[in-house]
Amino acid sequence: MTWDATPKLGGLATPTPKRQRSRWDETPASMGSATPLPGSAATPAAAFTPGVTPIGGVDLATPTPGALNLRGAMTPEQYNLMRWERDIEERNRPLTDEELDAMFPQEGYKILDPPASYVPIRTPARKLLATPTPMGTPLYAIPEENRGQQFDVPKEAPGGLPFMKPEDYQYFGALLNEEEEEKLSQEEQKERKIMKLLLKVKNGTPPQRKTALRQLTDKAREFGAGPLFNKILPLLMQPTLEDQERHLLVKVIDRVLYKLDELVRPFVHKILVVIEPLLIDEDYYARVEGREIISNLSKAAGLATMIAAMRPDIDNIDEYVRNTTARAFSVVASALGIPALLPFLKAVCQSKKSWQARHTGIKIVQQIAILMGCAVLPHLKSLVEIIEHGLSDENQKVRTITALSLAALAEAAAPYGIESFDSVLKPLWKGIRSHRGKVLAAFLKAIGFIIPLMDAVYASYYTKEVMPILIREFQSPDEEMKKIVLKVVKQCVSTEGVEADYIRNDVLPEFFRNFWVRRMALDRRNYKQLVETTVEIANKVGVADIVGRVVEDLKDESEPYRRMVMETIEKVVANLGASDIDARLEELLIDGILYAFQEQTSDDANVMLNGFGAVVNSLGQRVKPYLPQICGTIKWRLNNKSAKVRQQAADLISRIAVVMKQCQEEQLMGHLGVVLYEYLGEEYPEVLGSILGALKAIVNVIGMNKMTPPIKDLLPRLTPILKNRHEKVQENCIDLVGRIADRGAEYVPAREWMRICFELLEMLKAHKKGIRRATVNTFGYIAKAIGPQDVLATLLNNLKVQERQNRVCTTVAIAIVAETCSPFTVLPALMNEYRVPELNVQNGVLKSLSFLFEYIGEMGKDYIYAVTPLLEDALMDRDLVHRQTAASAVKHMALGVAGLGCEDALVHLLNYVWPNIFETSPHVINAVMEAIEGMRVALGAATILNYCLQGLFHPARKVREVYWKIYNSLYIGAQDALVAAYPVLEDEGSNVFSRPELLMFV
Amino acid sequence: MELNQDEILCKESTVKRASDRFNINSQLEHLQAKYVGTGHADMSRFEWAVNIQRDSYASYVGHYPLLAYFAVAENESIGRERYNFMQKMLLPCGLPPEREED
Repeated sequence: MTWDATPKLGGLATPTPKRQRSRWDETPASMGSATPLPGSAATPAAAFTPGVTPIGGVDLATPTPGALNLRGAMTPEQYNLMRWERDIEERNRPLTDEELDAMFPQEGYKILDPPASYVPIRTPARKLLATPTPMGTPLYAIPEENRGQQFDVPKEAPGGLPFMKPEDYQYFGALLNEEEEEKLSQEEQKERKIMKLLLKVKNGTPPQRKTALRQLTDKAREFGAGPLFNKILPLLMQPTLEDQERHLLVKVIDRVLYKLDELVRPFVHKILVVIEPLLIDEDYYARVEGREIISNLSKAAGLATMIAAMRPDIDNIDEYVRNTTARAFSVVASALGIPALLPFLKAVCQSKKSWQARHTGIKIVQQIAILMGCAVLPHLKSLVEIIEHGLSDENQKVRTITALSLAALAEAAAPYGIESFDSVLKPLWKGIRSHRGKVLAAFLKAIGFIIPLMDAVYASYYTKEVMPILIREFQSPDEEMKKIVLKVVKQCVSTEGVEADYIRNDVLPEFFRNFWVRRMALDRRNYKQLVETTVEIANKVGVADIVGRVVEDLKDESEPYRRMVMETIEKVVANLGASDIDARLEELLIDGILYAFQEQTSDDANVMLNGFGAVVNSLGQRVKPYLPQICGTIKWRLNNKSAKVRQQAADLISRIAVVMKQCQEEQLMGHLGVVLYEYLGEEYPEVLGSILGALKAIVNVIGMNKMTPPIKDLLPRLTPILKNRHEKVQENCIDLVGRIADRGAEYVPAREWMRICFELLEMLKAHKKGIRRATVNTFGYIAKAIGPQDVLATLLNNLKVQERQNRVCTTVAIAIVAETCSPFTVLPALMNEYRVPELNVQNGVLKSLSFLFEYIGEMGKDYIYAVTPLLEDALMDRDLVHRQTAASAVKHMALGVAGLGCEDALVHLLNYVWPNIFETSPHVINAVMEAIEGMRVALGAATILNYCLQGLFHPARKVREVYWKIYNSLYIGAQDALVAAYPVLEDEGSNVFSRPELLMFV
Repeated sequence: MELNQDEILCKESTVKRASDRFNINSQLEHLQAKYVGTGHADMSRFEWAVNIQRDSYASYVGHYPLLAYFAVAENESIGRERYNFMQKMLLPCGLPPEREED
């Protein structure tokens, strides 16, 4: 694509006025903005010339396919960056002689001649870059300076239009011409209106955007499809379009399509040309949006139009066009149903005219399978029949795509639908004997996906057939073939009918010789596939065979390879356990993992750690002899200079602590505990977090009283660490402190616990929920240990803070304290706090009560009478939140005491809850409805029904609606119970409403 | 064209209703409307009574002891009683009254 190919811009007749700037400005960076993208048809090179009518328009809708390829050659981010850079360069340009003259006094300064040796840089590359526009090159003259140009402050857009970026000028520049609107023709006015609306949608504020979108939608038919799409489509082609803008424009198209309906037909092709490239965009959301538009387009325009529009592209010479067309067709199929498309597909796949048409047709089937997944099942047979002849096509590409499509169909249909593939089994299996290279790879892939659908007997037979070929292809140097072979081996091995012996003897030797080589560890996809396949083989042949073969490689000199070995061993051992591993192998294995663990240098340390943990845990007590050695290594590494190494060592302790306990190595653990304790001064937070985690693991397995260092020494060291703001440190520290508060609170003086309580309040601010939860629980443990009074006082004070999250956590903590120390120790102080005339505090108290009654459940029956007066007051409060929170407290209370004889108090409370049923705020009404539901459980449906009856046929609709809503939830909750409680309805004319059965008496 | 206009009106009314789609109350009402036997503000006395009757008969049939009790009281077999109740569920209150506005 060259500049000459730009439509209407050929030759030198450029609409761009010469850019009047000094050569200094023409830095390479300025190229980008003046001509956003070389080759894009959307570039009339008029970026900074407001007033020039954009030429884009109609021409844009049919760019050559090659042009589309260039979309995204420069990302919008890069583009913005360049704009900034260019702006900075402009400000920093060298001063001209005139400017210098103006600045300096006339006397006392002298202009020096440049040194004789000075030669200006005239390298060809620079010259090239300094050229202002490519089209100007032949007649290049140094442009004149124009300092009047504005780069930083764009021209004010008239009429409250949003800000326009320089790239937008070519599309919206016309809006800046303050022409008399009346002088414009009808068409031009319409165009202007559309442009304004689009600009508002694209760059406007949310409210502007909303109204503009609405107007565009409402007036879509009035504007007409032509003018609309002539404006929208060029915008979508803009190479500098940002994701957000694209999303908005897609939304516009979506709405407009919906309104235009069949009027869109003449524009289907133009829209497709613009939208199809989105289908293969890197960005997932771009692809989804592309699909959405095409799907809506096909619903609006209908199948016939879609086919007519895309038919010529099916045998386009350009592979790119065919690819996007196939994808577009698959979207059409998903929008209009596969059956509608089947006759067309059948015709295309059998096209005699060109192999390209057949290729595209079969590719459509593949894309349908990928897009629709198991939804292809009902049409599987017809889809397979349509493409099956492609396996024996004369063109190699068609054969390949046919096999790939079959693979996609089988993958989508799994685990069903084997009967549909009957007709292709023979050609596939025959094909693998006669084909080589790419075709063979595709055939193998299809086989790999079909085998898992088969019954065990057939699967084993067909696997035996394909295995020799697979083994032969183990040596293939082709990367793609390697991946496919690995995948197919995995699929074959996992079927039931294949025997372990066969794999052990016939497959394994070649498999390991060809695949377990260092090179495979370097490519991420190969690595993953190889690990997966090996694990699958291990499931068949057992641990010993696989681990025995790779264990030596744990000491390989290549680290990525060692990592791959470790990951495989981890997965195999975790799947199958270590009971098959004999003494000799066990020795080698431990030796190997220790070596690999110590030699690791890369950042991705989790593989080694997980591997070590998995092996040690599955060996269990058999690790005992090696533990001193392992611990020696850990201790040594805890002292390492590198933070990473220290962290790994500490992490390893937490992985193996349980096994150490199993091996009765408590003394060793105690020793490790002391070592870790000494490292609590660690300054790297990541490492400190791991050390705390290791201490926690040790405390967990050996218990509080056997712990060394003793808890009374350990905890005071932890208190200052609670101040640490690092998330990992906080989490591990609070877990450890909570554990100690739970199990070993008596080792620590009460004063220390209070000090910790104050630290804990800060932790309620943590972002991570786990930390907040652990903190709240710790409050409970501490309160249990030192009595609730002091802790409660601290917490109640905290209700006054501003931050909502903090208050909510505090209320939960209060409820937990009440639960652990019995409510009677907490309720008096809590209820007393309600007298504080402060909204936050009162709501906090109510919320605590709500949580409290939720936690204590049945125990609530002893406290319900005590809190009823408080709740009465809250339910009558003017503040909505009071009533809402009180209602949720009532709900929990009612649910807790259901069936425990507290009906009198509950009915009383219900009388206070009921008037709130007309609230409209969603949270309040929700709480009220839930309180009523709770009451239904506690008081029985009949009671609530009697409250309901008064309003079911109320003359005011608003009242009826609410009452029916309550009635309905009552009905759904306890339909059967209502039968006994329905009112007696009087008969009406010929209708008999009485229920005589209920009056029967024996 | 007129038909199209109608369609557009139709679509717009759904759009308007969709505006408070996320309101928790309308969600609740929508949920309730899925069950047979629930009511709404425009329900007539007759419709409600029919629901009550059907619920009652369903309940009688569902609770065996109740069914046995009715059988003793009416001197019928339990099976006959069950059959009768199920038949009565068809038109428990007779034919619906003529709607006034029709």
